[in-house]
Amino acid sequence: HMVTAVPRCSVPSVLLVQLQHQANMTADTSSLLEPYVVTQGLSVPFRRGFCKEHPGAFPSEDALRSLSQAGFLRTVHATLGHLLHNLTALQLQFSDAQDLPELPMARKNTHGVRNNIHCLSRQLHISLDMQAGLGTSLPPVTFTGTAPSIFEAKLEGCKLLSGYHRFMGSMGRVLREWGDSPRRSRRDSPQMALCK
Amino acid sequence: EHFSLTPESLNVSMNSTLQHLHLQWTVQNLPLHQELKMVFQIEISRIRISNVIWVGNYSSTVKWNQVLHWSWESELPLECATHFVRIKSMVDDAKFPELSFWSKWSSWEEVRAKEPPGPKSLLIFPRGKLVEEGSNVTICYVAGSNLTNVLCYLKEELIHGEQLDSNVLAFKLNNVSFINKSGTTVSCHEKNNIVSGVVLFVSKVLEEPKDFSCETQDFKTLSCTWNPGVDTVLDWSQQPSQSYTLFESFSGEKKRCKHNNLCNWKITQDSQEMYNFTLVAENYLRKRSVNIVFNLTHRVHPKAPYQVNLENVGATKVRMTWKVPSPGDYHTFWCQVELQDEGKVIQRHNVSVKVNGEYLFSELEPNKKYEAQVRCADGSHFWRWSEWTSQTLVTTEAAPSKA
Repeated sequence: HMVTAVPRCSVPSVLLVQLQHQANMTADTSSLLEPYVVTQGLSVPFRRGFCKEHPGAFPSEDALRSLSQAGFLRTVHATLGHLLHNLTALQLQFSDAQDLPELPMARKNTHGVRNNIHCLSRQLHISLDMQAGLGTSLPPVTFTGTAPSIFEAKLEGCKLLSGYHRFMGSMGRVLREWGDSPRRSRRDSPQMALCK
Repeated sequence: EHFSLTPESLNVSMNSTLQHLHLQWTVQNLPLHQELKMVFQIEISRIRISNVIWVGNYSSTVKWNQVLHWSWESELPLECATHFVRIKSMVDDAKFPELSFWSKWSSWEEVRAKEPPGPKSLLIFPRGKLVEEGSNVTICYVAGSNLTNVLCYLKEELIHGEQLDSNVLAFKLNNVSFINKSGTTVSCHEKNNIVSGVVLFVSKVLEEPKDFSCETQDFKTLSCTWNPGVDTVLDWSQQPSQSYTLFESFSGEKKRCKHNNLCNWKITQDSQEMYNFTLVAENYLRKRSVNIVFNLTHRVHPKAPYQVNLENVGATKVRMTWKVPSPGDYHTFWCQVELQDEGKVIQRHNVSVKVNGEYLFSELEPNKKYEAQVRCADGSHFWRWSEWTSQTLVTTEAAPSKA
């Protein structure tokens, strides 16, 4: 079961382990995308590749890797904020949360990851204000409000969830590299105190 | 040349959502201030004029300079094919037997489907559909000229259609069933780079509310309850849960109920004794209603007795007293008292009560534990028992026998 950060933050090394565990769980497409595809009758379009994330909706893994620590934490924090908005908009399409129980669970996990990112930035004395960071072009989606048809709206949901899983996986891999070897990113980020 | 009443200014418009063709036309040469019974024959063709798919008559009384209207529902989405319509008329009026002959046909009116799709475009119609379980639905795709190998799937099952035109295929889905609240997806693909789809939302059939009844506990509020049956809600904002509205015909009042299985109705001081309630269940596709007529005084469901006390507990006797929440001093209740020994009813008696009730249990065993309980119902017109109120008692030791 996912451990969500409590208001009192853990120490960075513990946070890093938690975040990597959370990333592994949320990157697994069987935790949300696959049940969504089945319940929404999108198996054929999914198999034929029509569920790929919108290019640029989520920061790529290389982009995340190129960021300083501050930039990385700000970008992830902002992206998860937009993601939560869109997951909530998708949730509104279901008259009962139990129609797709994996979705409320994913929202809860995303909140958990975001809390841990917030804790990590506090521990590293990094402000999360979006100055230096990629920003995020994850468009707010309202599904039935904007899509020309419900089929298109369902496909939008599918693409969102593909991006969600991929982004979580990318975040986890970059964080793992933080833990593996202290490195100096190309920017001026200080030697990471986390790794001592 | 016969005196002819050929329909003129025939105009045909298309309502895609309802899949309706709407016709309007006039009949010239009608005598002023004269009404004529006429019958109109309408022919509808699809794709080609020669391919007549529907013929029917429509009768109407026609006045001078009147514009007539008529609609036809197509089972095929109107965007799937071009339709052609023409009309002719005949006077069908006993006053003018000599005019009962068919006029010439009007010219064909063409109702073009949407502009043809682009060469690499694949369109499915309708764009969305909400139907009841058991309905028949026709879906079609219209493919651009460059598309050659289009395959369509109902969920994961490959489906085969009827070729309507070189680039149009129609799929008849009969007796569709409810699968889940998110609808049934039909998607069409051309290799792996073009997809188009439609979600068919199949609603469960709205059921008539069952066990609809109303009662009062205090002559201030009428509580109506019913069994709603299935919830016909659908996801993706396609259909909310069905709504329930109470109409009372004597007062003309109505109330939209917040819950799907209960509704409270305020009894005002001056309100009537007789009630005629109609409960209407409604969703986007259907309305169902049930009706009951009753006298308020025949629907009293008392609250449970209170202040239940056991007095003068003896070895073989005990007096039980209680109060009944009463809406009015003049009201009489019918109360039932029971004595249980280890869960088994050993005594049961009925007592007529106004507000304060009492009963003397006798023939008990000394030094024994019993459960005494009481419930009440309306004394004039039995409707329902109240809940039980119970008390535990232990009889005293038997008095020593005089040696």
